[in-house]
Amino acid sequence: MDFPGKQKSIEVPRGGSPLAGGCLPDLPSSTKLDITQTDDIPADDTNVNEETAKIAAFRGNSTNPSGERTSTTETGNNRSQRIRSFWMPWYRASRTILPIYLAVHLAFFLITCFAVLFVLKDFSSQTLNINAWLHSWSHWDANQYDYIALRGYEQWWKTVFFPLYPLLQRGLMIFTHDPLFAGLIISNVAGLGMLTVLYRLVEEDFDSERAYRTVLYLSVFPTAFFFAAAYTESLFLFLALLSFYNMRHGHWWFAGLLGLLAALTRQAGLFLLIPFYCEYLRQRGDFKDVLLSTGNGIERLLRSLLRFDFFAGALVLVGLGIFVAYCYYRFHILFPFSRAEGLYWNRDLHDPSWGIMRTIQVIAHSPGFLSFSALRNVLDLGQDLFICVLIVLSLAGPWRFRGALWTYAVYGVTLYLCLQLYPVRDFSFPLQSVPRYMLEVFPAFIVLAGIDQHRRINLVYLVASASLLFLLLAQYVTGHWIT
Amino acid sequence: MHLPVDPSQSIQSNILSGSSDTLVSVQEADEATDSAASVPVRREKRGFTHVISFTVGKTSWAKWYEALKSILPIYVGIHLAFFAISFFSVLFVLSDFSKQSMPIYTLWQSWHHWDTGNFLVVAVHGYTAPNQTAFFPLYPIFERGLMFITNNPFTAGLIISDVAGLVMLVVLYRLVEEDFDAERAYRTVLYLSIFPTAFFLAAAYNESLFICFALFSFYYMRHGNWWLAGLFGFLATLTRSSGLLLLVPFCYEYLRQHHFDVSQGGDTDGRKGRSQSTKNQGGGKLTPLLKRSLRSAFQSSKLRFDLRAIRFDVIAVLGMPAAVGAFAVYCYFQFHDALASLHAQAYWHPRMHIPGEGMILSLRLITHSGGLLNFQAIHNLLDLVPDLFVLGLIILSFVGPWKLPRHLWAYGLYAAALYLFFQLYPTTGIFPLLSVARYLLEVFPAFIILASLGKYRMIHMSYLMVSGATLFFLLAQFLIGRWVL
Repeated sequence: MDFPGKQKSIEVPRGGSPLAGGCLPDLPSSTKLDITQTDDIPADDTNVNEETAKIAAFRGNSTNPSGERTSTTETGNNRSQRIRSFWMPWYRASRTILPIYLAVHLAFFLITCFAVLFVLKDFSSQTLNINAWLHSWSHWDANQYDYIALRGYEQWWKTVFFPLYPLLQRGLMIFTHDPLFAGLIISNVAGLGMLTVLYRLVEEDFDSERAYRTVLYLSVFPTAFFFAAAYTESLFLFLALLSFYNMRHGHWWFAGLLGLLAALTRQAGLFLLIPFYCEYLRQRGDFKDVLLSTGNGIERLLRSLLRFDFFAGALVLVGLGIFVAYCYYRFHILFPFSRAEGLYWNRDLHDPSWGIMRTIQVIAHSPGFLSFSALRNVLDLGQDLFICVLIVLSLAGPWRFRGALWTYAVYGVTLYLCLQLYPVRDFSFPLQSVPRYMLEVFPAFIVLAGIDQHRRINLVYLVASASLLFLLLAQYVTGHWIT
Repeated sequence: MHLPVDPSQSIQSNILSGSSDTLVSVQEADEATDSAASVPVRREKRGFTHVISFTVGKTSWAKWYEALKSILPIYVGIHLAFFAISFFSVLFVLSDFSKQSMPIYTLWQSWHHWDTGNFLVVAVHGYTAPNQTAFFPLYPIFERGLMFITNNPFTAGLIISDVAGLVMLVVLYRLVEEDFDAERAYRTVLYLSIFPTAFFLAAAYNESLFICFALFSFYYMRHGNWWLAGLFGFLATLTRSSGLLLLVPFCYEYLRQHHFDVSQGGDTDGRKGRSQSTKNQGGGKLTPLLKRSLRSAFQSSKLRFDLRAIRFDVIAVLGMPAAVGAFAVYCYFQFHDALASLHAQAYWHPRMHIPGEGMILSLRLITHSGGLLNFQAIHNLLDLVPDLFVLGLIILSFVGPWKLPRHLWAYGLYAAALYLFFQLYPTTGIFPLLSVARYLLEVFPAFIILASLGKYRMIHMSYLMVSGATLFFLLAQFLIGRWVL
């Protein structure tokens, strides 16, 4: 259950400075070395600001044999080498996950074709129109995003659909003319990027086998077809994961910037603040003196924390602020989206367990076990509880996140709980759409990948989950109510 | 055939051929100067005493148990998925937000479709009309037998199919594990379980019972246990007529294990096959290889057949024809037509075609359907693509880098024979390859080849996802009563 050999490298925050994040490659062998140095320097340096960080980065890198220090003056060969060594791991990661990505998309394509048989009667000689077939992916929320991409926010209650995704759709419409196809392209490209980042993240913090399985498990989760549909899920998760990845590397400004974009994609982007400051505290916080109560501990802790890049996290809030400002300018309502959730989308703030309890009640009062309301609620509840169990396991038990990895656990728990906060009010489908939101809780899938050292659980989850995935997809493309 | 064998060489050949019984055969090779030991025949069996001692052996039970443990996750996972689909396919029947509720027995009654009914009628009333004899008797007999406990022939049928399905996977795992390796055995079982038509193994059809018996027969052939091989061949043929084709691997294995040696220079088969395959790894050397093997077959001075090697147990080969004969006798007494089942088959498959004609017909129907998004085209594609896929795998079992070594040709021959048999009788109407995708489940050697290909993650993932998607889709269609045969 331990990760032998990994523990040590995990303890050390990686990627020395904001500067290193942008242009310097992450050399696996040297990062550990230069980080220990960058961490030491602020400790005895009194002037803690951006400048020292830069110097630290240079000093740290001066130990590299490849001569990173002179790289700013040298060009040509050296630079191309650096670029290559930066992109190589990403390329490798994307190649590793490509089989999963392609296989899943092939399956989606086939289901889309076969779903025609659900629409047509047996032995009918009717042929489905190709255009109707292409638009079988355009249902429910996808239509809302299309509408916003075409006409902007016309009604205030549509602001629950955050702007970045329709903006990108709008941008891509120059080429595709159809917002649906623009949306599909964005989602699927972001989907590939998302899996690559997830793979890299888990590979670095755990191991490659686990990374592969995490990607696989996320890709076959029953609602995973939303990654390929014109929904914001894949774009959001891509940005959130990239932000998370940069946090783990200590590239605060990049993390903040990506957090900003994530916050502009979905409301849940706001919760990136929590892992950001957890990670900041863990990497920068100097608790040694405080815990041992020696010296001027508190002062040194504050000094180590209060640096300029402390405010990079605020970029996430800036992202939300931009949209709030736009909404106020447009509709003269502050936070129209939170009001719309309550007034228009019937979602109210409740304690996290309310939705689950309510769903159980609804199932109990449904006309029968094999009725629409019971089956759909069982689906919602099952997926929700499944992720819930994984989140609990991420905190306690043999598979919990250990040591320096507690940021994952914190992010997983907060995201899970916050996504439970707004169940649907009326007595029908309280956990409506929650299974889709569960895709965003990626730490749960890392736990799942950690559980099966044997292939037993692996296979049972894979097959059972994939069967539901394909069934739900068939329902979605035939226009049934799946949100 | 008395050839001095260097023990170290025989060890190597056994290791290379991936036999799990390496140690046993190495010991045998040490003791005996006879080269027979290094041919991967595990034990020489003569008479029933050996049969009994073999089946009762304690270690063999442990091995069966190990195999069961290995495949159980697959079996449980797939059945869990089937269960989930049975539940949620109701969503396709009910309209959205309807207040209607289906009765709970829908869960298992939704498995009651198409041929299931034909078997049930036979189980309850016996053969009352000649055209029922297209359905061979053993599965309905079993249903009838179990009806004493369940009272319901349909439940009995489901129980038989699912139990036979489990046993079938265990035997398949053991077979492949012994002849290849455990990794490949696991993948073979997985790939078979997720084939697009694999839900018929869990439905009240006779597929799983047949494959179970056929695999047992095959397993005992490989062990040189001819009596049991014949017995299971008999049972398999009583379940489905295609069991008769077990004659092909039976004869091949019998001759091979009794030194009907066609290879030149008296080299042991296992090593010969292996060295050839390593030499021709590059592929594209098909013609010289073919020439060489033909030459060795015809020009070899060693080509001979020792009649004394044929023993009394060759009579076991009559097991398969005996089943057909027994059923023919029954048909004669019941309907005064010994060939009733043949005539009944002709009702669906009126005349024999050249293999491949069905595929061409099917392809023509797809192209002439006016767009791919209609019932006719999609169903024909669902028949044609698995058919071509398995054809490709069978070809790969003879040529190319994944081909079977000579001593394992029984697999390839059996697969080819079955495959050709299924192609011979395309149905009339708009679905020439009707049900062939289901019959292909019986061509288990194809999945062994696929398991070798599955080492590549791309192939592994693509097959799993694509096949899984098709499987669950077809199951959902089957369960809501759509036309899936």
